[in-house]
Amino acid sequence: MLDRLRQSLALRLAWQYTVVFALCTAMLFGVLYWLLASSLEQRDQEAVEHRADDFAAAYQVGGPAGLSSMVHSDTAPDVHTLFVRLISPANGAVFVAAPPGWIETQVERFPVPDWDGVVAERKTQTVRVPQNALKDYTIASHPLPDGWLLQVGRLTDSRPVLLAPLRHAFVWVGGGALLVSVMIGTLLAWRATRPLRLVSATARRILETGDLAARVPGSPGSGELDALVTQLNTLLDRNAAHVGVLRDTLDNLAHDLRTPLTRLRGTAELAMLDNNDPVEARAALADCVNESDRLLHLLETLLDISAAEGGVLKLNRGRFDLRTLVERAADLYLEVAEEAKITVTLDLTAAVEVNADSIRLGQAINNLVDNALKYTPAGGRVTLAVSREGDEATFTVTDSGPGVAEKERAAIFRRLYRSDSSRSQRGFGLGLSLAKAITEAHGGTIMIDDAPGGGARFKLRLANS
Amino acid sequence: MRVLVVEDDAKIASFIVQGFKQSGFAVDHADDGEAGLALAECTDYDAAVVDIMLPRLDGLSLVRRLRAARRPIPVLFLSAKSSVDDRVRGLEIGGDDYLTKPFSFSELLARVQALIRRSSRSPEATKLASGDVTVDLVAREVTRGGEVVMLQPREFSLLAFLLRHAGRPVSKTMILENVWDYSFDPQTNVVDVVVSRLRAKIDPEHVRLETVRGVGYIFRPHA
Repeated sequence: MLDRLRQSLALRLAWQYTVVFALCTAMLFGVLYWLLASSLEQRDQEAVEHRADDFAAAYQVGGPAGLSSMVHSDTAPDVHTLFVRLISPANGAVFVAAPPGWIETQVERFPVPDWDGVVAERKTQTVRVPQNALKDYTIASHPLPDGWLLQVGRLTDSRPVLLAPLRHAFVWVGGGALLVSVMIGTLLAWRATRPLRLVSATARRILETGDLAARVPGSPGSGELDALVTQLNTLLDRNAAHVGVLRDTLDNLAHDLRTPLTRLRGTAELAMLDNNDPVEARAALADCVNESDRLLHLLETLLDISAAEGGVLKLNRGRFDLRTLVERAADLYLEVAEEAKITVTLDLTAAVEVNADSIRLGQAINNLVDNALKYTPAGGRVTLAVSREGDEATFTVTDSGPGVAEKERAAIFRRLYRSDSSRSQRGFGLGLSLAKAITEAHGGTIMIDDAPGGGARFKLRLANS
Repeated sequence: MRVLVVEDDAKIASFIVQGFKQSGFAVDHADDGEAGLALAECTDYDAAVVDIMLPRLDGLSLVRRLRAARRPIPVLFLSAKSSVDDRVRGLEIGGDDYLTKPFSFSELLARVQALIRRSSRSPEATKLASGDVTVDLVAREVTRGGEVVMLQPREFSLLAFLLRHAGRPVSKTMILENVWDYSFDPQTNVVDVVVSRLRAKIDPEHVRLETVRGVGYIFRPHA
């Protein structure tokens, strides 16, 4: 459990985000703290240096005595907290004024800047000397023209003490913000990665239970993860559809093969009983051969239909004139039509080029023609027409038969469907299913409606591209 | 006549070998591709029947190597696959005919006989005759008992085909391939229709052009 938590993408994201947040906040505070501290220090020093300038001016006018009288006559409230020292070139302190409680030893500890040219060029020099944790000295050294040095010092609050509230505030506010950031970050990351967990859970369910109906729940959004979920669901849908087609095909096949197999078995069994009559036995054997040929053909056609419907039928597409297939079909059924006393008319005015599998499309066209001839009574008419309608190539079969009732129109394309009127006809009831499946595998459609003078009209449409 | 059969399924092989022997052929059998190739390279066969799915060396490769070695034996492929692609590939490689399983032996026999006749390059006769029926292929004229019979073009082609195979049964598929030029069975009764028309004109007594149940049709030389 702990291991899984550690490996959770959401938690990892939240932690990484928090570390970055903490680093940035600390940096910001550091810069702020440094700016504030140095600005405070600068203010203290400017005040002390300003005082040192005043005292230096008094010294230049009245010498040490003038300085002394100015220090003592100064009425500014902070004059008593000031430390003033005048150092002679012989490095001896000539004048010292210190606030009460100022300890001499501490005064002695004040550093004196080196008495060389570099320092002398500057008018004043400031040195900070920490006294203890709470207080600091700020000292300004002012070189005087005749080699004397004036030092002015002042006790100030130590910076760490002054800025302590800020540091405390940072620790509390920063810590709190960090905690909130961890919590909200985790929550956000957890919510953002929810689709991933759903995908994973669904995949596991399908793997463990084989439940092909399982889908990833989720709202249709437009983000990357939503797109992933939508695509995955589409993939699962298509997969389930393929498996469904396969399962249906197997079910149908098992059902459809049962009848001819039973017949086959019956014929063979009868032949074995009739062992006295070799002529009858031979006839029964021939029936068995015929029946197994029919069975084989049924099997192959059903597999073709399933392949076409499942989108796995291999099409060897090429460009050709649709009229050649129709002429071939008319030629194939020439004698059949003559025998049935049906007039077949061709209406093939202009070339209509299509990009299709000529053998497969030929099968579809043959089946439509075969169907029309079967349902047209003697003396009737069948018209085969090819034309271009906009972007589509069309093949139309019009017959003068009884037509197809509105409620039967969808059913006649079903596999093995035999309408009541067609039970006497030869065939399995697969011709129209195969024609439809092949046409749809080509991206086309077959529609059926009434012919203008009664009868049925089948229209096969194929996109021209 | 000597025929080579390369087929790994023992039952199918024995049924083919038996059939050829009964029809007066000498038969050699190999049950894998390499054995078949070895036999074909050292013996002059009149024809070979080769299964496509074979152990050690598949049928297509066998024929490819046979053709590379310039052995012009006519080859008929047997295959469990009925797709048009396989058929085309088989014929491209140098096979001369193609039959899908399951098949009837009489069809196999008729096809092999046709292959042998084609390869023996005997010049095609311009006149065919069987009993009292004659067909003049050049003048496209048919006589029966000396009387001219008028036939439709397809009836004429069918009769010529039947006469070439006189005395041997031919299947509907073979008729569709040779008379209609259809490489697949369009599953119609067109053959039955044209056969019955031809029968009415040539054999109204139903003694020569017979239906062989489970196989197809046969044109008997004599009534």
